[in-house]
Amino acid sequence: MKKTAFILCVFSALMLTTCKKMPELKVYDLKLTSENVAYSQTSAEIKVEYDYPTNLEYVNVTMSESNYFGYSIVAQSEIIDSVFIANFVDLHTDKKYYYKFEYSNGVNVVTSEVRSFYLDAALVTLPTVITMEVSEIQGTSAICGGEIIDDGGYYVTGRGVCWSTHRNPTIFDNYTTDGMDTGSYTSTMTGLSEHTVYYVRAFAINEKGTSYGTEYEFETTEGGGVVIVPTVTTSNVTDITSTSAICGGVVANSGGADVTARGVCWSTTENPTISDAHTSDGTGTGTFTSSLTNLTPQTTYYIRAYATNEVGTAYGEQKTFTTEQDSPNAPTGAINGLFTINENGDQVWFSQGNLQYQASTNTWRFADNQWDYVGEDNSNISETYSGWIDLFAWGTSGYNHGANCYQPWSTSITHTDYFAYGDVNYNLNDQTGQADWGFNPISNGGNNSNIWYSLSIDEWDYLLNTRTTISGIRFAKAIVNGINGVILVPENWISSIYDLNNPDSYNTDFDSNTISLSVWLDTFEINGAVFLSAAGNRRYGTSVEGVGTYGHYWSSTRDYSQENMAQDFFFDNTDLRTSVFHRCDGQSVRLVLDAQ
Amino acid sequence: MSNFNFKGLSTDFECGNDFLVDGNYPFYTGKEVYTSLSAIGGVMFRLTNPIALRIGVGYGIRTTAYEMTDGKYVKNTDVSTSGVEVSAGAHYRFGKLVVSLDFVTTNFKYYEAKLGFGMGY
Repeated sequence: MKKTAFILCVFSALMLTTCKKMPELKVYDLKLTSENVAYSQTSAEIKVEYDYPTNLEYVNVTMSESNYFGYSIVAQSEIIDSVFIANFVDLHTDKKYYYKFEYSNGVNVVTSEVRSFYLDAALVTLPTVITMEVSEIQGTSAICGGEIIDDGGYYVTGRGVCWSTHRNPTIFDNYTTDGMDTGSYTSTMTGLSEHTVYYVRAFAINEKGTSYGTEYEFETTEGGGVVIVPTVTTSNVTDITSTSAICGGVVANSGGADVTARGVCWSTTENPTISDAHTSDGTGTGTFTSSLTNLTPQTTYYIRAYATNEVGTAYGEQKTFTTEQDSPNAPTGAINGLFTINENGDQVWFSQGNLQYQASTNTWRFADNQWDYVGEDNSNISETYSGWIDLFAWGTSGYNHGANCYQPWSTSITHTDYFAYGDVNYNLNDQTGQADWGFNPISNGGNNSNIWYSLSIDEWDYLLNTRTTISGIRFAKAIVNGINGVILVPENWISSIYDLNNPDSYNTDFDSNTISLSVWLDTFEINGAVFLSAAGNRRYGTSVEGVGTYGHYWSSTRDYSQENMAQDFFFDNTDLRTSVFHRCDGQSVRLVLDAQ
Repeated sequence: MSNFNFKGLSTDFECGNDFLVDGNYPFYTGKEVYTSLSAIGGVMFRLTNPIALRIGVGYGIRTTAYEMTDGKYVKNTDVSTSGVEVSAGAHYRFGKLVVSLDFVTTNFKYYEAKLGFGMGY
């Protein structure tokens, strides 16, 4: 065999075939699935939907009055999902405009064919808006605004000014919202940076799109600039009751000096000032909430937010509201707060304190104060005892309704002695209600028979777990005047009266809220709050337990599964619930009265 | 599609088999360009006249690229390679006419077969 060396050079020669499969290149055309041009008398909005497998980096739209694009303006579109929008201003009616798109996918660029539209004054659909000149330019704020001279045939649903540090700002940059409809408006630009050039233009929105006014350029000052009064707006009035309401405001601009006071002022005459009734709700810019109290029921008030700096006091727009009709006055012996006890909306007043009884004079009364309890002295219970007791076995109203033990001094520990009307199946308010303590005239509770009564267990349950209040709060554990217990807040309670901790918490401690006597009287009780003290109970005849530690309050409902039990409301430092307890044991009684 | 490019191919971007450049899908024209350049040296064994076998080793460059709408090219790095090139094949002489068949691999990543015709003196 003859060996011969060889040299082979190959240049770009695929002579037969490749052994490796080559991927097949896919070519996608950018498809415009919809294209819409809407215009006002001075501006146009071009909105295009497109289809392309990856995001576009930008789309520039070039517009000119000539199809040679000799003099043209270029607007960079806002791209959202598969839509790009470009806006042009300073156009004129009855002219033809040419435009084209330049798409970039981040790698290369494609330019579309030239399109055109005729700005026909008769076919305008966008609002026509004029940008006001920029004024009161300061370090971090400036005033501008606009005027909508034509709504384009569709209601203007949004207007304001938009600004940016780049040209052609849009509503995708910073913007204000200054109402709706046609007309003039003033806009306050805040949060600006000192010594910075900004571009601003007014905008208006209707269902056909967004139009813009002429662009203005301005530069913020370095430092305070001219000091003016603050800019403040008035919030809506909410939570209106017969004597109170909630309002507030927003101090959007300090005016270039510290805002030293802010709040709301109100009067029964228009244009209230801080010389009228007013709140003080802190200092500085931002949002604040104001509580109006001591209002007169069924009265129309005018209210404005205010903000004060070294230049003076500025007021927000005036709002008006009318207080509710006053709640019916609570009768003698009742706390003036309404509590809903069932889904029918029936409401009750609570008695001013726990029920007490003096055997020596056969007298019933309510404790003077909501936190009062007799405590250990309940162990002295007897037919002739001259002190007061406040722990009673179930159904011991003193009226002989058929039970073996119906006297309030009863200490038998045989549960069958306490069947209401002598029958295991009856509740206290069955028959004509004689087994309920409220059957008796209460000396300091109107002294009439059968007007007070005990809540059923379903009513206790609704009161604690279901009812709806303005504040959203139903109860809170607390220490009032040094006494442990539970506060029940009435339906018209508003949170701003007092910020209760751990509201509606079943297992929280009493010390979640510690409330002094003066605060209780001036803030809680005057607004209808009820306090149930931890008065303990009396067990096995005369043994008093749990005074100051827990509370048991009878319901009028027997227990349906255990004949020796009746149902009650129980709470202590770790619990709060409806419960069952022996009929023969002494518990607190808190009577209620139907609200008329 | 041209298979010949004696100047080599200058590309501006790179992609893989998904054709994406930095996550973006370029505007392609659909034109695909393949170039190869190799230099091989080796030995030839004459089995019997007119058949001879030959084997060689050298260096090769192969590039696949796609043209974009702006005339620039995107190189597909998944199917482009450069490095050691090995060639093995045979030729057959019909008088002065020579027919050759070679199998070539570049970097053992890319394979192809080459059929050649020529004149021998």
